[in-house]
Amino acid sequence: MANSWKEWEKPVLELEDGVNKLKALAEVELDPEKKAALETRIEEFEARIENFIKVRYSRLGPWEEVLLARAEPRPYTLDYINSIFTEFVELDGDRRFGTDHAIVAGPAQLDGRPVMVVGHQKGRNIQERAYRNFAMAKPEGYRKAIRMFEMAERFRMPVITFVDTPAADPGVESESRGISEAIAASMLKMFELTVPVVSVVIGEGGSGGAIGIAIANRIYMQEHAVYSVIPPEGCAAILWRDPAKKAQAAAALNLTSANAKSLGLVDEVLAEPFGGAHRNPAEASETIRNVLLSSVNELSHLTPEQLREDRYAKFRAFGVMTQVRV
Amino acid sequence: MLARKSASQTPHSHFVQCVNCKKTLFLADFESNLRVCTYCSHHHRMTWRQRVEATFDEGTWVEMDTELQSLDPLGFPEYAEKHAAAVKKTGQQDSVVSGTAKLFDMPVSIAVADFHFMGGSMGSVAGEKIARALERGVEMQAPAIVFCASGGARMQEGLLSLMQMAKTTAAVDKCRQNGVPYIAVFTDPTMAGVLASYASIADVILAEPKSLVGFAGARVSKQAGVSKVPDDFQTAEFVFRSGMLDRIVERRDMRGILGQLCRMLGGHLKLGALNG
Repeated sequence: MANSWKEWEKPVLELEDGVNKLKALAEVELDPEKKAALETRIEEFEARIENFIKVRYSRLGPWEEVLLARAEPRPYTLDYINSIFTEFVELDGDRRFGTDHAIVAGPAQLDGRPVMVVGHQKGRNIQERAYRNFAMAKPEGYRKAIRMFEMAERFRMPVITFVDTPAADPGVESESRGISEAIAASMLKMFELTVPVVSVVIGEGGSGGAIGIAIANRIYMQEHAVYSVIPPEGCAAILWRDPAKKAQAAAALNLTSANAKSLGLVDEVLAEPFGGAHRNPAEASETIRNVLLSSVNELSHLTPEQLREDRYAKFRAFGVMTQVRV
Repeated sequence: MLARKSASQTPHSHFVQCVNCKKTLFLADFESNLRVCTYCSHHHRMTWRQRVEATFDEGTWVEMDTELQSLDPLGFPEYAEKHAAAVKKTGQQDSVVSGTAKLFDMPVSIAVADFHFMGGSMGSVAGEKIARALERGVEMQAPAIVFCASGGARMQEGLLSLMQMAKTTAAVDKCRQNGVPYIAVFTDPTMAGVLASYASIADVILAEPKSLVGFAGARVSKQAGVSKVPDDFQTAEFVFRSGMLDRIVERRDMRGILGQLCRMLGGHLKLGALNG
């Protein structure tokens, strides 16, 4: 069982390193025959890389999907905000207690149309991760989100959320300031909205922390994102008293994008660039941008009351059970 | 820990032992005192039936939504067996029972969670019953009361269980839109996905003394390296101090307080079903 996405990417990185070296050699090679031979080698290597990625990424198991969803090179919320929107102005503070860098928010332009953007934000290095609290939002984060939702409602702006969190912050501070109430109130506020709401799960859809900002008319999930009621480690610890059984737990939880789609809980899985969004962030952004544009346009044809009712009806129907009259 | 035992009772015995102070109590006294220890006032857990009998007008309870039955949509390891065992143990279909009753002659819509059924966990059926109980309050033009007792979302139904947090919240929104009072009562324990959805956004929140109430289980908090935990961390008292609930109410007073609240907050409703 892998412990990091780097394990299966290692051969790729080595091959890519080899290709770069060969390219450097080919560049300074003056003998046309040797140069041609080098270029043949480069092509071979590139074909091998492509083939390796194709094969490897076509058979990622659920646990590997979890690792990939958590991978540091994956584009994060701010990466997508910067590539998809123009004029993003970050706003902050819950006007109650403090600020929370695990959630970023503010107005932006989507193809010339003002929208309100809210998303979890991860960090790539130790300092950033500490600053972002590993994208684990405290009550302040959800209350900041609520402020943004209210503003969007007042100013008739569509709301776009990006979901990427391992979980909400579980600390004593969060408990004492009502993390549960903050999550529930954020969901409630999203149900009340009469503007279009679109959510995209771009990495980890981690339980309550995720659903707290994911009450939308349209829910999209990137191919290699995961969405789960509990992290596999926690599930394994509770069910089998053994966190090492996380791979089994990941399989049992049905947390991949394909699972979520087949359960009817997301509208569409967004195909990622060859070998994952981190290999081609521009292409991944373009895919998201396109669905945001089309869904916001479609939803704009609904009346305010229809938008609210549509969201209610969507979530009210979620659940699998029998209804046998006894 | 969630696995706090209910008062231990030896077979064929007329006695029980309080799980808190360990003193021995007459079973008859214990039951007539609503399963509260006469020595230390520890509130022992109740089954949903005991709860209904202790709270609402005698003979007015009508159970509904009994047609709803859980499936095993993910084919989750051991779920079918665990669920079947819970049905056998408790005689109920799932962790939540819903229906209607009267409280001092006022019609009310009710859902009661029972911790004895798979830790009161919320899957599709529990979520549906909570949502229906809340929306039935709107249909009946009567207050909705939910007794919470749950370790959280039921992981054996995966993402479907997470979505029950959203679904029940959607139903709370319906109550709010229609001016129907919704009162939540936190009993031991009220945790995680249940606390972070319909439970925390009730118009009024009451709690039984010393109930375990929190977002993250003790194990999760420990893993997250949570330090300097107050002695009463994740108790109803701690949550009350934090401003997250309205009142801590002793079990013997619960019926009366609920009655007062329903009468005053629901005073504007046209209680068409008042005589029915």
